[in-house]
Amino acid sequence: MGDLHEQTLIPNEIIIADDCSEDDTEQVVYDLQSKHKNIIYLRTPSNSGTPVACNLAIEKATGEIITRIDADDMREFDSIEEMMRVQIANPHSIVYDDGIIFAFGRRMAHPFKMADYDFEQLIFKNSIHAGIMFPKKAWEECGGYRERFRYGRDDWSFNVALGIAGYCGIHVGRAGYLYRRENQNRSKKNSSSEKQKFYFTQMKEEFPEIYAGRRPMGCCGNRGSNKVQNTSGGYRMNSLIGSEGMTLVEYQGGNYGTEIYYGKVTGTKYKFSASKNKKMVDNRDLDALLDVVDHGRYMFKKANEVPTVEPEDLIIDKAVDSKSESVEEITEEKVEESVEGMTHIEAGNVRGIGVKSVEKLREASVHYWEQFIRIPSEDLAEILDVSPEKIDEFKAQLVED
Amino acid sequence: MPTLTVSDQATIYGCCGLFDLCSDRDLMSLSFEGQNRFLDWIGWELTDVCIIKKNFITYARGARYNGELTAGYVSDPCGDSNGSEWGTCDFTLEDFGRLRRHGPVRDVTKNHLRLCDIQPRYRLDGSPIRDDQEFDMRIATEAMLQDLKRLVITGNKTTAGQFDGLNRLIKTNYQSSSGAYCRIMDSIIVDWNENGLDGGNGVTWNGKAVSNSYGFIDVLMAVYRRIRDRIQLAPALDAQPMNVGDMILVGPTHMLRCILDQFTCWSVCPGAENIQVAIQSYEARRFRDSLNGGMFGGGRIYIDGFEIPLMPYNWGLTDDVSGASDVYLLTGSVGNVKTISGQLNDMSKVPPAYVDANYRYTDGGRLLTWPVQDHTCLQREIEMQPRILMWAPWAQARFVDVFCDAIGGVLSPDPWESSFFPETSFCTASCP
Repeated sequence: MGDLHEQTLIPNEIIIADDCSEDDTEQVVYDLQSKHKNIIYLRTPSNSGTPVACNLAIEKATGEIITRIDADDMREFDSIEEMMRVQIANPHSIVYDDGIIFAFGRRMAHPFKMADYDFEQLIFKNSIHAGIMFPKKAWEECGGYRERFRYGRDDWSFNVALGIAGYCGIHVGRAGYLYRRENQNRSKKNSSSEKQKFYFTQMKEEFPEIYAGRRPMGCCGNRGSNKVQNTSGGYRMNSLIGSEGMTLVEYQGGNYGTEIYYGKVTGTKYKFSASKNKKMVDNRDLDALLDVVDHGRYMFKKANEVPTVEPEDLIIDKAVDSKSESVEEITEEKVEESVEGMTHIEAGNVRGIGVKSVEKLREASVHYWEQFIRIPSEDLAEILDVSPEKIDEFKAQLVED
Repeated sequence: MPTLTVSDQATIYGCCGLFDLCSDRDLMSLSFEGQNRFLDWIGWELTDVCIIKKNFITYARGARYNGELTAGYVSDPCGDSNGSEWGTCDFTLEDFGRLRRHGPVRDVTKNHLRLCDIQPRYRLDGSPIRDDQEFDMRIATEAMLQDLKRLVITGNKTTAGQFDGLNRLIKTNYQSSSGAYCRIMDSIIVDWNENGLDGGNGVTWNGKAVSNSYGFIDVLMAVYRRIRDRIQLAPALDAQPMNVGDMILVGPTHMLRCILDQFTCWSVCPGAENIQVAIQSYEARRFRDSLNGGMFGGGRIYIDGFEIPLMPYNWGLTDDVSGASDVYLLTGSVGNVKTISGQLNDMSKVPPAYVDANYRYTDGGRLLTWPVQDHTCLQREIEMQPRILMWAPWAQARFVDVFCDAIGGVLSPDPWESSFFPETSFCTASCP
């Protein structure tokens, strides 16, 4: 839970679905609710399995876009925002990113990569983790999580059901989902070959038409993933927006009417105006957009020089020690420190930067002191509404420290 | 018995609709003439001019001294006079867009075998299409016209092959070819900030805040009056009478209906309601019904007694995600002076210049067509090169992101929009 309120995009609602646990979950949630008003607690009347708990939570949700995080997992600080942008650009799809496995306080060095979406492959092997993002109406249309999968593979059946309903997947090629794999994982216990056969049988019983080779109208099957489709002589129409990272771009023209600029690679329509002048742009379209010149002036620049988010940005150093039996609590501090050694910006770390200044920095997507030092003083001065000289003083303190 | 003589006065579309039946080698005109009211209203002429540059005198006035206007009178008969100064701007229109589509690949040896009298296709005049090539060209032209209809609004010349559409031509921050600002050329951009027609917070006029107490009709009236004032101040235009159809309001169909409802209530309802529920009285409903029709079938409103026809246009104006729409108040001409026009590269020049190649032009030079061959397979290419000239951007206005709920959802004629009906049942025609 700790990281959800540190996200660059904080969910409107965080619904905790307690499947009748016997620990102190209820008390922990009550304590959290006293600090965060967006937390909703639901408890199933009896222990019914993950699908029932998920369906209960989604039914209660008032938002249009849902994303799932399992109880022992977490997300990178800006991953919800990244996925949301892709989701908004592709309203009739589901969105998923890559994962990073962590255990006993340490992360894997390499991301846990998901495959590009392919329904025909998906029905035989689940290649998407449980932490997808989807429109709530997709859940309504596909019939929700299948309750028979209470002992495992509920995410697999849900992904297939979504595909049948025409909600194909878009793979965002960056690692955002932090997937805990320790001794308590269900997946460690139900991956034997017998179990796999059991689940496959369940899938065939649940979706007999699909495994008999029939595909209903609008189904994702036999279309493959949202592949790039080349249109001769022009740009490629591609709905995989953000799959290779996105960058915040600022429009420098003075037109108060929205102008549409077409992404040279993806064909995406980017709308800019003098008043709505900052947007995230797919990295594949970035260079061409930054080169646009009108009447001798560059029309775009990277906004605030905040580092772009690259798909491989978040690889961490330490390998999992699979023989270790000690269970270390993953605290917020440990997660933060392990992001390439970067230090979170907190009020009071630097003389002169208080709570309000920290809020302004976070709104401008500046979260770490290492970022702060790299950003030009003029840009930071604009964000914090102080002089560039003051910013230099702040930076000097960081260097001293 | 009075005798009548046919007038040679131009129709509202002028003499230059997108297609017309008065040119040589008419082919696609037989299927598309008169089918595109907004495009015909813009008016298109064939040209072989590549670059157009027009210089404007934007103002002339007495010279300044220390920022103040100098006197235009002298007391001394031998005194020195003060000078005068003038400003310039230029408008440069460069290349055309390039719209190209091709039809399906055909086996030429089977061409004549596909004709089927029980499933004929017809031209507008009822005559059947008897040639597969013409039919294939018709399908390709239909697709190309869809591209044109979108780009007329959303086109951006920074993307190779496109031309600047209204979203780029009607703008603020106008610059000359040298990069100097010519703000006197600026259009009026009202950002409605996704509010409903009653108005709301965040509405701006060229970046300056508009009070949230003003509704859409209030601001539209202010915009219209500003444009008319500017026209009156322009010496070349002041003498021209404005006719019905010179200024139009362009918007998606559902938005125009909302505007008509809003206008009704603005006119006759006691409050500022903008929904049909509020049009409660018989008189109000009669008033609303009287607004129907108009020159283009989309309705009409009256501002200061001047009739402004509404032009339904459902291409590129509604945001697929937010559902908000753009509405344009366009001045196409002031009397005989055209302020918006379209141009098409005259393709009739191509075949005579390349006699040995297989190029043909149709419809007076609007379209260029040529085959691509691979043994007995043939694919017909078709190309059009358009651009839009906006001679008086200051006489144009755009309302950005106006929101009005459409009961039942928005319906779009664009097959690429999610609001196209039926959007989930595409099935490409194929032979069994």
